[in-house]
Amino acid sequence: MLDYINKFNTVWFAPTYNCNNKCVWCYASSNLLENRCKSIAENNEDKAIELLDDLKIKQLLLIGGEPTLYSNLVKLIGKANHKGIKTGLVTNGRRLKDKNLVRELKKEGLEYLSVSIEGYDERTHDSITQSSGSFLESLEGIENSLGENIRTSTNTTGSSKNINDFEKIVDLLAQYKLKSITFNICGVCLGSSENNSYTISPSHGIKAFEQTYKYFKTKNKNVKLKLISPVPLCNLDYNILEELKETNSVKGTCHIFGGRNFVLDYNGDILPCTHFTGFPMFNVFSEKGIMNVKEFLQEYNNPENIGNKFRERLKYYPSAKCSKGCEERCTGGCPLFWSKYNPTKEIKGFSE
Amino acid sequence: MGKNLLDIANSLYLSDKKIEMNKLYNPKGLEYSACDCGCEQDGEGYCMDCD
Repeated sequence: MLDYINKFNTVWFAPTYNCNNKCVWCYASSNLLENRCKSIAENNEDKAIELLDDLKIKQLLLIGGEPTLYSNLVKLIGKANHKGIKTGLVTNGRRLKDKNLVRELKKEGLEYLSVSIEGYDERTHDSITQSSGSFLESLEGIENSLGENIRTSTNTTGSSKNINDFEKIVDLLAQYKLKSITFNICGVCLGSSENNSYTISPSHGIKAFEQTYKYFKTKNKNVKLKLISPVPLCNLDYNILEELKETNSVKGTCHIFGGRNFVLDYNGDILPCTHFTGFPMFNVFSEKGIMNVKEFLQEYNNPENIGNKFRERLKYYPSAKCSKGCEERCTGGCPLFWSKYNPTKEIKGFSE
Repeated sequence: MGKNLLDIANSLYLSDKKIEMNKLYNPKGLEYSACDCGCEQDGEGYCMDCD
């Protein structure tokens, strides 16, 4: 039985799937041309923000696609800010080379930026984004964001294309006054199997992060290194795990279990997380307009809704090792790892 | 084609051991917060209030 949920924390909103990069592993399939014309209509955007305000969400993270390509982005941030909703951007940062745009975003209340950096130089970064010039533009975007005193982090998606470059990437990024340098582990793309050639196993990703963490510690930099994919915590070295927990630099439970975060897609689909584009729990739009709060909560908590059946089905540990004397709350990490990798082989377990 | 969320969940390698949901409370007693700092601003590393 699932808890009744009427309180929400983070909503990721993908107003567009247009993108000016073509990352080889894109989980949202924004590297496919046919997806690039997908954006929310402005009148629907207004209704969506009203609904999110009525739901009293705490923070809105704009994602995509590339949110800075959404034509109404500045006004959207202003509207959310006016309603007291904190806003952040998950962006490749390229359009932020335009200082005026950064200034406008700051003026409208943008609080936070995460810029995707995939390599340590033009060659390595641009080969993953498949977009010439993207590296230099992203770095310019970081500089402009920091110049406007917007809290700025970077995120690097660890894939088979850059798994051996993490140390060089942190060397590059440590030069900036970032809030944190974060890594995630390339997950499977559910919409386009061609994008899945670059995934790495969670154990491989954790090992690479761990080595980078040890290396980074010797540099004594005043910035946090974080692993943001929910992972099986038993795979981390015990001492490193304790340090990461102490500084909130490693995630606990995948948020899907709690259900207090969700994704609003450009077309009104409600998704459990950003990886599930095209696989909605339900849709908020109809011919009548948009659901009101009561209708939303009814559907969100309806045990017959596919999203709740999905969450209920996930409530099994991936490995029996997770249920034997383990006190961590990771539940084995991101459940989507286990669509490709075998948890019995991947999860180390504390008892071993 | 025609796959839905439940099909995805059913296709995952999962054991037959049910998750003990009471383990998912964080140290400050907030249930299911993905953010270990306990601020409730959870969500894959983009906690805007805490650092």
